[in-house]
This record gives sequence, structure tokens and C-alpha cells, in this order.
Amino acid sequence: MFKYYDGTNWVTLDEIKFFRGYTSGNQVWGSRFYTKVLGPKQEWLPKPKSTTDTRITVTWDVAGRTPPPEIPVDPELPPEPTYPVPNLIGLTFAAAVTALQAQNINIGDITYEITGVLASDGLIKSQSLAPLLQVYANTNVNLVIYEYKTPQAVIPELDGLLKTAAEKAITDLGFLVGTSLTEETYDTTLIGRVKANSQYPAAGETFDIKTIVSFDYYTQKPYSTMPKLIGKKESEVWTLLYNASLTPGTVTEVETADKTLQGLVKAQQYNEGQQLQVDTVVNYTVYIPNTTTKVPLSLVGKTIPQFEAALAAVDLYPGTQTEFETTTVALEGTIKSITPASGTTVNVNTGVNYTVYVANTTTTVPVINGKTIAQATSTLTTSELLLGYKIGEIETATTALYNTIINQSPGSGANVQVNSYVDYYLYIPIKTATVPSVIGYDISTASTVLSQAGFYLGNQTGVVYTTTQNQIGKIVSQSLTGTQKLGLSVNYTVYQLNPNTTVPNLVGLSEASARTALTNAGLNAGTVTYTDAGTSGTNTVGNVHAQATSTGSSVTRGTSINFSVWKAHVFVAVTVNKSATITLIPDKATYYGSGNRRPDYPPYLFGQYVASTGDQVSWFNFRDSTVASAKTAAGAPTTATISAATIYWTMATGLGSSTKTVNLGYLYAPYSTGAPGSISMANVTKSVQSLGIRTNGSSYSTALSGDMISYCLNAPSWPMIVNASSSSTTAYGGLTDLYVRATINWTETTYV
Amino acid sequence: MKLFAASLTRNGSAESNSFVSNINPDPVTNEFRIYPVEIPTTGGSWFEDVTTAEVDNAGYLVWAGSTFNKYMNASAIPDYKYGYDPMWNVEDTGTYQFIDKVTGETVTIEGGYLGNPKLQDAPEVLTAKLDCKLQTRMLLVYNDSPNTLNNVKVRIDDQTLRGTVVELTDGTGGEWGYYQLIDGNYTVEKDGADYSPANAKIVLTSTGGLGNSTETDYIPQEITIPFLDAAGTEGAWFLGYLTMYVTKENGNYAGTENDYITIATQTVA
Repeated sequence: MFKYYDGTNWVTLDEIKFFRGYTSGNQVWGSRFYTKVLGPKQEWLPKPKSTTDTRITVTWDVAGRTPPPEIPVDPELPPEPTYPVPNLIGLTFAAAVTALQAQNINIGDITYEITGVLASDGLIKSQSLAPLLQVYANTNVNLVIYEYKTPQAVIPELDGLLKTAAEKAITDLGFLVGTSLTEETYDTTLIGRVKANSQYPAAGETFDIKTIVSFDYYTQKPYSTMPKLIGKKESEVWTLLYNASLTPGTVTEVETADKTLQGLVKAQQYNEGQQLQVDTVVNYTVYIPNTTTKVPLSLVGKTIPQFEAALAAVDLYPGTQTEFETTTVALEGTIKSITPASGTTVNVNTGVNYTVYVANTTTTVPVINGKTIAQATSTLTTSELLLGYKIGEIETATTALYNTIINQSPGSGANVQVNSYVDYYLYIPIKTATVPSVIGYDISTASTVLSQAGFYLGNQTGVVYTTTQNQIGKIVSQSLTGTQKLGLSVNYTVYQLNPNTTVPNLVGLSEASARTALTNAGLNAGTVTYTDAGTSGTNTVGNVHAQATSTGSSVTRGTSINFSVWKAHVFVAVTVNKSATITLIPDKATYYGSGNRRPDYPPYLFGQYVASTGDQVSWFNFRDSTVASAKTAAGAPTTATISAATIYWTMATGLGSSTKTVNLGYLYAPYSTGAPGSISMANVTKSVQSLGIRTNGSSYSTALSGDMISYCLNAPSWPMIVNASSSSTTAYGGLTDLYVRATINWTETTYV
Repeated sequence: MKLFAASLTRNGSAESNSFVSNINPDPVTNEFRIYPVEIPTTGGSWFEDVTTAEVDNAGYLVWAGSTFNKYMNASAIPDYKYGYDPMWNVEDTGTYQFIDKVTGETVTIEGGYLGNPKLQDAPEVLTAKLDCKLQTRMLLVYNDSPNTLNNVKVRIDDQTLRGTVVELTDGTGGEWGYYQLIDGNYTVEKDGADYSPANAKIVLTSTGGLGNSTETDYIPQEITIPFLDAAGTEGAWFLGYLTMYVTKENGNYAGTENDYITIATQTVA
């Protein structure tokens, strides 16, 4: 369907034709061609799409569900009778029941409606079905019935009202004023007014009139007179306040050192005679004994009794005593220091620690090093000490130091008991002597000689090798000679046997001579190996030809020297497998046909060449002598075996078919040396090996089978047969240029 | 675009209510083949006529057993029993009230789920929906144009929404799918030179059985096929499902004659 726009409306066309061009000069118009338009984006529209969208409608029926059961209506029965609803309004309930029952109508739901009109109590107010409405029997009619109740009012809010105003509010609503309770208060804004939340019933609740409404209200509370507390004992305060209907409050304590004031009231919160509210809390202040004091001044330098008296005056006592030694006699027994210091505030009845001077029991060791004995004794006496023992002497070459102290014990500065000893070391001149010569002495003798002279034998510092037996162990040299300090050690060197020897030349010596040479040199013969001297004859069997350690080497005595000696050569048999190739040409041949003998030269014919001749064969002979000669010529013994052989031939031309089958066989002819004048075909075994289908004029080679080699090439050999595959003349043929190339094998034994 | 029904034989009858029982799957692979056939449009010939017994048996009966101690306001029971309102896809904010038989308390279930009735949660909606299922049909979609197509829409273009309501779902659905598809997809084979309707056959496995459950808690009306190959190819085919549910009775127990759906394709947006 197509539409075109005529300027006002779209007009529908059934079909449209398109001009397709000219064919044979005629205009061609066609219909039902698809068209495209070029869209604003230079796209041809519509784009390729599906042929046509599918729209399929499928229908089915759906049965309704099972309807609920209905009560069957019997058409035979007469119509149900109806009755008019009676007018029940204004009737009593009993009268209404009677009226309904008279019309066979039932009473339905009953509801009640409150009324304040006593006369309406129990009468029908309304009915659910209108009077005179025709209804079926047993139809329900619901009723509304008046119910009288006493008038009620809402309890007024009384909180904060003056008592008279509250009573008026109660009576104005028809309620009665109940019994009131009072509560005393000093709040002038509340006095005479209703106490909050005290009314009953509570405001807002609905009650019958004449209900009693009660409430509480506030009245003036009386005052108390403040008594005098100052100067009273604290124990009297509670009684004084209680009698005045007042309450003791916070007690503040004030310390005093005045014993007469301690325990009395110092001050009170309210003045004597002041009017106060009952149960007012009254605070007051009380003197109490002091709990702290100050450490007295000028305690240092006092004697112990003076110190104790000064502390007792301020409720303190002496604490821990510490002694401090002094060499000043005047200070002994006086206070050196105290803790805590004077003026410090401390709790009463606590101790003051102190340090007291005492006579000294120790002293400090002075320096006595460098002093002479006399000087040291004087110095120590000043320090209440004594010169003790000389611990030792130190030799010195410095003359100025002779007989002065070099070291002391205890050292200077040490704190020691008075009248104790100070020991010391003393410098003295060095002691010397002449060192004796110990060269040529053995060790033991040298030690004795040196010891007797005031010296010591020291360490061995070296050796000197010697081969002179009586020098071994004797001293060669000594480290010290001449005048030396006594007690020094003299080191030394001694002779020692040379542990090494020179290796002799063993090459060329007999083994026995070589062993002797080693023994003479202090050496041992080591491992001796024997080397094949070979067959050259230049090596002397039994002589040394090499040594493991070079001649002239210096080695430790007792070393083992290995060397090697020539030994005789031994010959060994060796078997060698050998092989060669030999070529064999048959030297005898013939053609057997119809019992006639033929020339003994090729071709070796086979088969039937005309119909009358029958099946024929040729035989050719590799004689034992021919084979033996070939083996000899190849350097092999005649016993050499043939392990493989290949027969070579050319198919003769012009005979029979161009291709045919060639077979080999053999002739049983033991000891045959030539071509027999006639042979019996009964002795011929044909077709032992097939040489295949072959073509005239072509050359071939084929490996001979084991049977053919065994029968025809190994002595005693039999003649070889060539035969056709059939008696047909097409199978007729001949072999030329025939020879066999065989591989022979043998063994040879040599000695090396 | 072409739409086809499924048959168990070439040029055979379109599937019917007895389709599932006639499936004879391979005993080893559980596979079976379906063949595209023309959709029968004669009344009751594809979706079969629904009987009163089928309507009575279908539908979700709320709290019939002893598990629940609540029962529903009597006026709401028909909504549940024949719960699939034609206006299923309309969000209704109304509420249903229930009375606890033990305590006498009134329990209110808020509305707001998609569609009616108002069930307590989505799984319960699915169960109710499944109980209202009447029939299921397979819909084969074939691209008969020489072009590949994207985003082809197939939809239920129109339906009466009275006696029954029908939904259209994607045939590649997951665990709620009607058939267990091979490797998550169906395989299309051919008997002739190409995969045209005359030669094509769809391979399915019957592990899941037909219509085991439904996937959505509302009634989908449209599917979108993201890609279809050109006509004659294996990819020119797509599989959908049509599932019919009973709807709420409208009150006169008369049923609906000529209840229908119109299925349409849309190849160009």
C-alpha cells in the first residue's frame, strides 16, 4: 500500500510502478520493486532487516471454577408469609418483646444509650427495621434502649487555689467539700493555698455530683531562737541546739597550743538571739589541741641533755642517733647536726634524728713511699700508726734510691684503725756474678754448674746437626756470659743427629744391588714393580730402569723408595677372523634337451623352444678345483667357507617371450668332473630358488639361497640347473655372462 | 523472523499437555531432540482448553495445613486461592489483615510487593506462582533473514488477562529453567544441508523435567535476544518458554471463552 501527500491530505494508492529503463528501444515499467530513500545521515533507509516480523495469536478456552453451593429453591412450596414490623419506640423492653413475638419477629442485637432523664430509663429509643415493614418470620430486629444514669461533672483543678476559692470551685459544680489536712511552711507564696497534687479525686475525672472532694493546704510554720554556743564545751552543743529545735551542722576544728582553750566552741554560724526556722542547720567552730610544732632553733653544739630538754618543750623527742668521729676533743659529746632542720613544721610527738661527735677510732694512712725508715716512722707516729714489716726488697741500679721505701701496705689514703701497722718494700743495690761456661756439657751437668753460680738453665733455643756421635746432646752455645745479675736464665743450643740422607742412583743396578745401596744410605726399599722388557732386546732383564724418588734428593732417614725392574716378555697366541671375495665362472655347461648334449658355452638355454622338444634345462658346473684355486688365489686356505654368494647374469635376447620367470635348481651328480653325455631328469631338482620375472637383454644379480650355496658351491659340489617356469614356448630363454661372486671366511692364528 | 512450536518428531504434532510424558530421552545422556513445527492457531490446539477441574486444582491455598495458626479474612481467600490477578505487574500498596486464632490479635501484612496477592516474601511468591501454573509451551525463534540481528525482541503483544495469564521467559534460564541445557546452552543439529526449519533440531536434556519451577516473582512478557546469526546457520535459533497461570476469578464462575495471547517479534528497534 502506498500513500502520497497531495498538499492537504494523505491519499492511498493500491500500487505504483517504477521505470526500469529501455529494452530494445521500449520503455520497461515494473511494479512491486522495493525502494530506498537517502536519509539525512546519507544512509539508505530502511537498513537491511528480517523479511517480516511475525505476529501469531493463539486461543483457548478457560472453564470457570466450581461455584460455591447454593440453597435449592423448591417451586412447589407456597411463598413464605411476611409480617409487619411493630412500632416499638417508647415502649418498655418487655412490651417490645411482646409486640415482636406477636408478629413472629425475633429480637436482634441490643445496645444501650445513656440518658439523664430518669423517666426514660428502660424505654426503646430506636429499632433497626422501620415500623410496618413487611419481613419474613424470625427476622431479627435490633434495638437501642435508654439507660438512666446519675448526672456527673468533671472534678476541677484545685492546685494553688486559696482554700476559700477551692471550696467554692467544689461546691459550684455540685460536689461536696471533704476533710482538709494542713501542712506547715515558711513559703509565704504557699501559705493558705491548696497543696499541689493533694486533691482527691484528681482533676479532670468525671464523677457523680455530691461526690466528696478533699484537699490539703499550707499553714504558717513557727520559728526558733539561736542560743549562745561560744565558750561552751562541745559536749554541750547538741543539747543546746536540740532544746531550741535546731540541728547541729558542720563542725570546723581549729588547732591551738593553748591548753585552756582546747575543747571549747570558738565561733557559731548565727548570732545569739537570732530567729531561725525550726530544724535550721547550725555550723560552728571548736578549738582542738595542736597536732604540729616547729623544730627548735640552735640545737647544734648543745650537749645531749640540753638537746633532749629543748625538744621536750615543744612535744618532740630525740630520734635516731648517729655518731661522727672527731679528733677534736672539745667537740666530743656535742650535737653535730639534726634532721629535720630547725624551724621545720612537724607532727607533735615525733622524733628528731641527730648526729653527735665521738672520739675517733680510725685514721688515714699517710704517704711513706720515697722516705727512709726514720722518716717513715716519724710520719706514721703523727698519724697514730706504726711502721710494720718489710715485705720485700727491690734491687735498683739508682744509687739515690738505695734504702728508701718503694711501696707501702695499706696504701696512702686508706682508713684504718689507729695504732695499726703499715708494711713496706725497700730499694736495695743490685746483686751480680760471672756466668760460667757450659759449652760442651750435657744438659744435666750444665744445669748444676749454673745453679751453683746463682743462675738458671733456661730454654733450648735451637739445634746444630752433626754426624759425630759423641757430640750428640752436648751444648753448642749459651745466651749469657760474663758478669750478669744473679738469678737470670741462660738459654742454649745443643748438637742433634742429622735426620736426613741423600737418595742414591738405582738405575742400571740389579735389584739386589739397589736394595744394598738403599740400606747403605739409611733408606728402605719400597714397592718394587716389574715392567715388560719387550722384544727389542735393549732392556736388560733384572736391572732397575726407574726409581720413584730422584737421585740426590734429601729425604728423612727410613723413607721407603719405590723402584721398577725390567722383566722378560711373554708371547701370546691371537686368532684373527678373515674374509675375502672370490669370483667364480662355470667351466663346464651343457643343455639338456631331448637327451641331446649341447655345446658347453653360453647362453645356458632353458624351456621348450619348439613344441616338440618338451621342457628342457641347462646345467653349469663350478668344480671343486675351480673353487679351491680361487680361494688359494685370495690367500685363503681351501678350507675357507662360503658364507654368501650372488649370481650375476644377462638375459639372452630373441628367445621366447620378452619377460619370463627364471628358476635355479641342481643336478644330483656326485663326483662329477665334467658334463655328462646324458643326464636323467630324475636326478634334476628344479626350481630350488626363483630368480624372478626377468626381461630379455637386461642384466641382473640375485643372492643365492643357502641351499644353492650348500649344494652347488661347497665340495663336493653339484652342477647348478636353470629351468623354465613351464613347458610353454613363451617361457623359453637363456642366460649369458653368468658368474658368481662369493664371500669366503677363515681364521688365522699369530703370536704377539 | 519466524516463530515455531516444538514437536518430538519431524513434521509431527506440536507439543501438548502430554508432551513431557512422551519424551523418550537417550538412556545414557538424557538427551532428546525437538523439531520446529508451525504453531497451531486453531482454538485449543496449542495451549489446550482449561477445564474446571484444572482451574480448581491450580492456585495457591493459603494456610490450609496445621503449620500456621493464622487464617485469613474470608473475603481475601479467593484472592489467594486464585491469586494471579491480571494486574500482576501493578504495584499494589494495599494490605491484608489476618486474625491470630490463638491470641485474637489482628495481624497486618503490608502490601508493596509487585503484583497480587501479597505474600510474605519472594520465595513464597514463587511457590504460589508455581502452584498456579497450568500449561507450558516451548517457543522456537528463527531468524529467516540473510542478515545477523542484534537485540531482537519477542513479546506477548496482547492477551486477555482474564481466565489465564501467560508469561514468556528466556530458554537459557539457569537453575529455574525448565530444561537442563547442555553446557548452559542448547545444541542445534541438522538433518539436511543447513539449519533451516526443515532440517534443524534442538538438542535438550531432560534432567530437570518440564516446568519444575519458575524464575521470577512476576509475569515477564518480553525477552530480548542479544544476537541471532543469519538464516540457515546454527546460531539462527533461540529457545523461549511460554507458561500459563490461572488468574483470579472475576466472580461469575463462567470462565473465559477464546482466551488468547498474541506473540510478536520486533527486529528493528
